[in-house]
Amino acid sequence: MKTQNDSLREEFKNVLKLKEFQDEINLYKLNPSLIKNFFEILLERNNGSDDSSIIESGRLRFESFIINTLREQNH
Amino acid sequence: MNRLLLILSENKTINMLISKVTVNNFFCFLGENKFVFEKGLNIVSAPNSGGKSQLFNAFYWTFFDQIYIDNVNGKKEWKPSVDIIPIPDALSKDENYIGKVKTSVEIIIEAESPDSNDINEEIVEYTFTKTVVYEKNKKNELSVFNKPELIISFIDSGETKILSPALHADTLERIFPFSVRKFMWYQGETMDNLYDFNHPNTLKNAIKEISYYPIYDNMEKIVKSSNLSIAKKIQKELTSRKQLTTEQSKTLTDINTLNENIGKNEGKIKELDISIEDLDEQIANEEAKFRSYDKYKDIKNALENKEFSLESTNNLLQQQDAFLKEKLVEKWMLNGCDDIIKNSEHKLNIIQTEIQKYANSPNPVPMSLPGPEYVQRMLDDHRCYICERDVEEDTEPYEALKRRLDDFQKDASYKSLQDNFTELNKAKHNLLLVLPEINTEIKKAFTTRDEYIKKRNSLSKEIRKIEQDADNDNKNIKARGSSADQILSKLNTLKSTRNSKKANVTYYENLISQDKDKLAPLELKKSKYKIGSEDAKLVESIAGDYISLFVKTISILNKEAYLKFIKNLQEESNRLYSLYLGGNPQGKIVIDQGIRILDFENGELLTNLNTAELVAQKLAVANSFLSLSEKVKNKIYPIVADAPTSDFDPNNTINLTMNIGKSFQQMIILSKDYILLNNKDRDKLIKDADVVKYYELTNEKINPTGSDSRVNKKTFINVIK
Repeated sequence: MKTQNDSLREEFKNVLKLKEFQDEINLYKLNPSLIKNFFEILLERNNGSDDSSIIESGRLRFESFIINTLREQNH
Repeated sequence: MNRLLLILSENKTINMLISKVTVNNFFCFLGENKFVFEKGLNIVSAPNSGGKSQLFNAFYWTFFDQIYIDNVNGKKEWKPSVDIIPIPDALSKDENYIGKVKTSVEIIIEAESPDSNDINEEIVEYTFTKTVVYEKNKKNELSVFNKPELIISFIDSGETKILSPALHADTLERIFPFSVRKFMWYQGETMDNLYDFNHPNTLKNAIKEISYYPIYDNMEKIVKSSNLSIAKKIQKELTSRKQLTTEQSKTLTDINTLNENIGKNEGKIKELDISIEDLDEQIANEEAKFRSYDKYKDIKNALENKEFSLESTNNLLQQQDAFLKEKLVEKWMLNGCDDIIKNSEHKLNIIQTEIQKYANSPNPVPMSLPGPEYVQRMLDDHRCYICERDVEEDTEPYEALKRRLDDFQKDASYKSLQDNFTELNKAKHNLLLVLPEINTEIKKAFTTRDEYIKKRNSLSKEIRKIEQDADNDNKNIKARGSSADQILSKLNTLKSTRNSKKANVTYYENLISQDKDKLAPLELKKSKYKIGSEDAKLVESIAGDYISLFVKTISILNKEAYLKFIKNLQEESNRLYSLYLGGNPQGKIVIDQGIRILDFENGELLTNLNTAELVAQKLAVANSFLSLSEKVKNKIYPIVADAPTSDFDPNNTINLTMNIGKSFQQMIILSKDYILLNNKDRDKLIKDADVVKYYELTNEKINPTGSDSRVNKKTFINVIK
């Protein structure tokens, strides 16, 4: 049986299948496996708490992870 | 038996399971009493006072420090366990027993580990042991020897660990989340309190616990914040590399400013939405309060109207009494006047005869010519000044003058007689008019007074009836009526504040819409900029493309999560509703502003549903919360229900039992409704409903030849399966 995060992954995967997002992925040449990895960062420690410090640390983690991953790829 | 740690590598669902309960010296459970429960449908059958509710209390006492017990008015309510001594009467009231008494409940459950997280979700075996020790003296008085203490232990990697008391509350909240707790343990008789969607927080809390809504909400905040941040980084980087023209730089600045404004205004809308939700909650609370006071408002109005009428009637009665008194005095004063008037008739006739006699006098000369003073002078002077001749005494002219002088006397008497006659006649006439009128008025006044008295009595009776119907005294009705007025006034204020906040939301929505309109052409302009070559595209720009995709996708998931939850809740409620009614529900459950059952065909609201249907509906919705939790959060909770079928007839009880067990992994039903079954029917139910454990509890004499008192009684457990 799936975990809660499995269910969230599945919902995210399904929404990405929408034409508008497929078009966007193709237009900007976005890498599907990276999208998947970035989503994993959003799933980390997400317990639904809307504490502003948690949101800010989440943003920092998400943004840094994306930039660092892309930098690593470029090299 | 200790179980090993279960690592959920394959099956990651958190299956909570109640495995064993040991109740020791707890209310009717004397000594040690063990119950073993398994996955599936477990039944504890007992008559009233058999011990099922005390078994239910054993769970609550252990986990939540509460006991559901009779209050002073004989009505059951939840009470803090510190106020209650749970020792069986067989010990607490036995005068021969002196010494220490230990009460304890031990519950073994399988639930998620205190260290569990998404990556490493574990199920461990917990042992909850709550103990309290009392001391009983020779005077039969009890005092606490050892305070109630809860020990939570769990087995981790084969090792038993004791959980620090500081972590108890968090662990209990983690295992039994507050928002779904009441759906896990419930009393049939408190079914009405299970959920009340007039209180928005019920739904909100359930959503928080069960749906993805808050998770997506957070994700959306994170990705939107990242989007703003990355846009600034891109502009900063491009500016530092001098790759932007002045116009391009301005466009990017404008885009960032607009995005920031939109973000700020969205934040304000969220804050307003939270305030509106709070107001909704307050309004719902006040409306709930108002419902219990509402009737007093009308009663108070009715009462005050009646009291006003009563006061007016009393005033009129007083006026009437005063009027009557005045008229009666008049009548008293004129008492006997009727006879006088009758008797006066004869005398008046005499006077009249006398007057007539005088009026018939032959002397035509008016009495004023000459006047009496001249006549007297003529007599004194012995001379008639009319004919200018002397008048000697004892002559006829002299006598004529004397007679004329007498006539003056007679005339005065006549005039007086005439006046008196006129006055008397007038008085007689008046009296003749007034006397019958007074009588009529007095009669009428008495009738009116009687009517007022009748009305006053009737109003007093009506006031008493209003008070009796309201089952309250006048003072209370008015106090509650005034409370209703106050609540209504508060409601109006709250609603007005809510409207004003809603208007603010519209204002900020308009601002956002205007900013978005400005943003669209700027974004188009930006997309046409050729900044650097494709190969040399900034990492921040590429990250921006990814983040932008996340903003759009997560926003959709967030919007859909709430609606999806309601839809799922409704679907699951209907599935369970149909299941509990043996596939024959009359209508479908609809969850929107509240919970209603609508006709399948015409969609009209179904009223006059029987008790079984209503209870099935409540059970279905309550259970669907847990059922959804299983599907969405992958957490399966057991249900412990005390008398869930108490409002059902026997057929529906069997029907529900057959079906309810199928809806949950573990269910423990404590009920008196199975004692009516004979052994054959009971065994059939166990087989057909796939009951995994079946206990029968009876409260019987400890000493069969002893008294019938509760001191000589305890609960016996008969394990049927």
